[in-house]
Amino acid sequence: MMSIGMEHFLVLSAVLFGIGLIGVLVRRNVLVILMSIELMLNSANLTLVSFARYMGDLSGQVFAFFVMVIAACEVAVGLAIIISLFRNKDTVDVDRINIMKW
Amino acid sequence: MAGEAASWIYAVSFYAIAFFAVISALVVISARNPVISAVWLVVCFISVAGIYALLKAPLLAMIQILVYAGAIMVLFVMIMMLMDIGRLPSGGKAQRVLRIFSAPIGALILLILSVVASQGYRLKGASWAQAPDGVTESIGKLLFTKYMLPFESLTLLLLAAVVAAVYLARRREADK
Amino acid sequence: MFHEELGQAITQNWIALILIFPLMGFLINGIAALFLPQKYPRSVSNLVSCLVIALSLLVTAYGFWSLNRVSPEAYFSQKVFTWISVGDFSVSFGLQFDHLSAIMCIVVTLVGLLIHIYATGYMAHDPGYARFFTYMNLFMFMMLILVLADNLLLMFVGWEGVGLCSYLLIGFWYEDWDKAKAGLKAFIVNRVGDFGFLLGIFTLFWAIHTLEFSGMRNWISENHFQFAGMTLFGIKVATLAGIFLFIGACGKSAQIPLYVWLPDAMAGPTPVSALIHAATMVTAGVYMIGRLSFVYVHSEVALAVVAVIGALTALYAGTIGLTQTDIKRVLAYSTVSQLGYMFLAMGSMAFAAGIFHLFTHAFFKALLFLSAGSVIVAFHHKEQDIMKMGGLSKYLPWTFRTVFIAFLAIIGIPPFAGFWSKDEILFKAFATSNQVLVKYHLSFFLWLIGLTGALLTAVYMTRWMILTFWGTSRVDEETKHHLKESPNSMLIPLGLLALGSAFVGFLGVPEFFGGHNWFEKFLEPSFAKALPGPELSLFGRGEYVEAILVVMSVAMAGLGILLAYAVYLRKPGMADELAQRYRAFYQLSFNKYYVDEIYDRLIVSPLIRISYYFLFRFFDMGVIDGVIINGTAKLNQWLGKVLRRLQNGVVQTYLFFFVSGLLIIILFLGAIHPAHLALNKGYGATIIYILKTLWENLI
Repeated sequence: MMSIGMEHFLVLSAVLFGIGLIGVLVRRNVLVILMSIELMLNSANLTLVSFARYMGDLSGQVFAFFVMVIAACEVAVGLAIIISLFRNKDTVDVDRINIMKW
Repeated sequence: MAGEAASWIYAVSFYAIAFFAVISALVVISARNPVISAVWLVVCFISVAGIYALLKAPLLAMIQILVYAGAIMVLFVMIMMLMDIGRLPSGGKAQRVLRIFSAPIGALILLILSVVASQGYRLKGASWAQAPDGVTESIGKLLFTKYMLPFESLTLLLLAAVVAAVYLARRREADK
Repeated sequence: MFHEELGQAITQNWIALILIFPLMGFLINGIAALFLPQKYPRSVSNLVSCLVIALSLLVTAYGFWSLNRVSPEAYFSQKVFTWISVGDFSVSFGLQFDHLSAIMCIVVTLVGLLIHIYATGYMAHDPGYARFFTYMNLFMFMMLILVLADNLLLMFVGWEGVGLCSYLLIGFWYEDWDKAKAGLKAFIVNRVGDFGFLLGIFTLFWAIHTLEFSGMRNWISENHFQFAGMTLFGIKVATLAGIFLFIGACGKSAQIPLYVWLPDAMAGPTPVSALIHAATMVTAGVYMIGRLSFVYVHSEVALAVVAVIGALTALYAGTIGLTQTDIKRVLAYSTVSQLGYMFLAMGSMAFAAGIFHLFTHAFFKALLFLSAGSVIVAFHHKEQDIMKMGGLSKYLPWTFRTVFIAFLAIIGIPPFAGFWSKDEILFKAFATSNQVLVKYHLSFFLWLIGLTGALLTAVYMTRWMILTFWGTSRVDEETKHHLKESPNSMLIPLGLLALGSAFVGFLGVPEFFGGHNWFEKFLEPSFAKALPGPELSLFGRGEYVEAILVVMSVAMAGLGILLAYAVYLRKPGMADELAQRYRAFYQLSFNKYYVDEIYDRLIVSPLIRISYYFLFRFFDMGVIDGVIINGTAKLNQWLGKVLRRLQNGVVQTYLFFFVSGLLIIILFLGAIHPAHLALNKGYGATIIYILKTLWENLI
């Protein structure tokens, strides 16, 4: 337990990913869902960086950098969508947003 | 495994920061008030930045704090306040049944991923000490040589995102 | 039985022409009737239909002449095309023109031609003219297939085909529901018989593995003892097949118990009654037995059945004919009776005699029917009850003269045709070589029945003549003025048939009378040889026996004439008195022994009821419509209703299924399946193992 190997970081990232997944599946508030998605993205970043460290290749960190940029874009657009939804349906309850069906 | 990674300080730091990260994540997904979720998400991000620091990736740690905690979460909170989103009223029965099943499934996937991840020690790679540090200089060098193209195309992506966000969130005639 | 000298087949390609001409007539008339019903002129229709039959007759005549120039055992054959070829079973559309077929073809085409010509006059004012001749030509085509077929399956095709045409023609005036019903009855009763026929075909095929007549005959002659010993369900194959096929013959040739359609079939136009129900279709059963004589000789039991039923039918139908009042119905029962004689002959192993009677009967029975038609036309199709006729000999002189000849022929007055053939039958029945009949002394009884039948024939035919043509006229004045003789188109065939009825008998004069029985000798190669009959002798001379038999049958005929004369002509009113005194017999006879009513009560009504309640209401509407069709639809609806709830529009739900699917894939493809293969345990055991490992790893 004393010497921290790659697997520690990987397990941490897996746990964060799982928590984020549960959040996406279980919460009703759209904003919290979006936050959970951010959590999942972070865990992926964590994996990338730990691989970068333990495999000796800095590309992992560069990749993580890119992911962060994309996450930022995604949040912006996602929040814009949520605003638009809120304006139309006056709710952020995912159960009430049920028009994506036949 | 040699170098700092073997020392007990390192281990203690890791476990402490990891603990924070997990706890704050749990609060994020279980808080009733979304603002509380947002705040604790910030804590989570900072913890992750700490982990990056432990992994000798200082630039990434700073960027994490700047972008995630500083920009993204600010955006979240701002939206929440603008639209005055509080707690949601209790929901319908129908979806509750589904949610009861969702949690275990998510948990199961968590479990499986953890198990798989824990086998990570088998991967053969360079040792701790030989890996370069993730300082500004080295990452900058990579960004502007090897990964020049993706770096520049990111600008396009940013442009598209900005345009999309502005367009989607615009006020329309019918709105007050 | 001994090994037979089987003939060789000579391929001739004109045989199909006999079939093609009527087929062309059918097609031309049919297409014209369909597409230009109003504009198709009768003269063209006449010409086409009669011409094709005449051409068939010419080809038949040519064939007949050619047959005489080759050896007696040879015959002509033609395989037109291969019809079925599956594995090692093959059936071809093959035709054979041997002696028996030649005789049958002559009957069919000659009498058919005369009746077609007659029909141009009879149906002159009928709106369905073209349709009539279409059906008639189709019938000729089918009948010729029946007699020319060289295998049992093709013969069955013709058999069914004539049944179809019979239905179409009996129900020709289908707007009248009773007439249409008569057509249905004919077809359905025929089908019952056809079931037996099919069973016979199956039995024979099972035993011999080929359906071609020549093939069957060869096989039986080579595997004589084996065939004699073959049994199926404990019964000898020959007997079983013989009886089954005879059931078919009972249907087609109106014997007990399947004769009930023939009297009703008189609902059709008279040419139809003459052609189909007197001369040709109903004789198909007799022809079939003759054609398959090589099977029947192996089963004297089957032949005994044939003979007994034939004789009984002859007598039975005669008793009914005594009291009937419709002019055609009397003749219908007479036909049933005469067919019984033919079967009596076949059953007594006198195959040539049976065919000879078929031959002569075609002429005089057709003539009788056509004359009846002449009378009907004279009454403008409005009257058919002979009780309202009488004395017509004055008004329809030529009709009368010809019908008188037919009358003498059917009764059996020498030297007209019926005498020779009927006598031949009675003699052969008396002196049959069928051991079964001899063993149970049935031969004498059958002869006696036949003799009684001859008496009855004389009585009812004389009655018919008296009531229709002789005596005082019971026709009302109004109609009397309109009675006039038929047109030439109808009279000429009558005359020709009269010539036939008079002289055709001379073809089969037996040696006893000094003739050389050309007919029997001609047909010899077509039939299996039977053992000679018992040696009869009276006072030391065998011929005396035959002489006495002949004298007795002529005496019966004369007695019959006298009886009828006494009852109907001498003392008017005596008939009614007798009917009153013997009321029970009269009612039984007049109501045809209530057989139709019995069939209806026992068979038809229960069947209809079962069909309606069980098959229709329960099975068709309930099971098929309700459970299968509607049920499937309702199942789909229900399934849809349930499954619709999956797509509720909430993205999180979709995500749930997404992730679940992902989980299953991870588990199975990633974890469980490889582990299951590696560990060689079942899936369940593998899952438990994985869970255990997880648990251990985490602790």
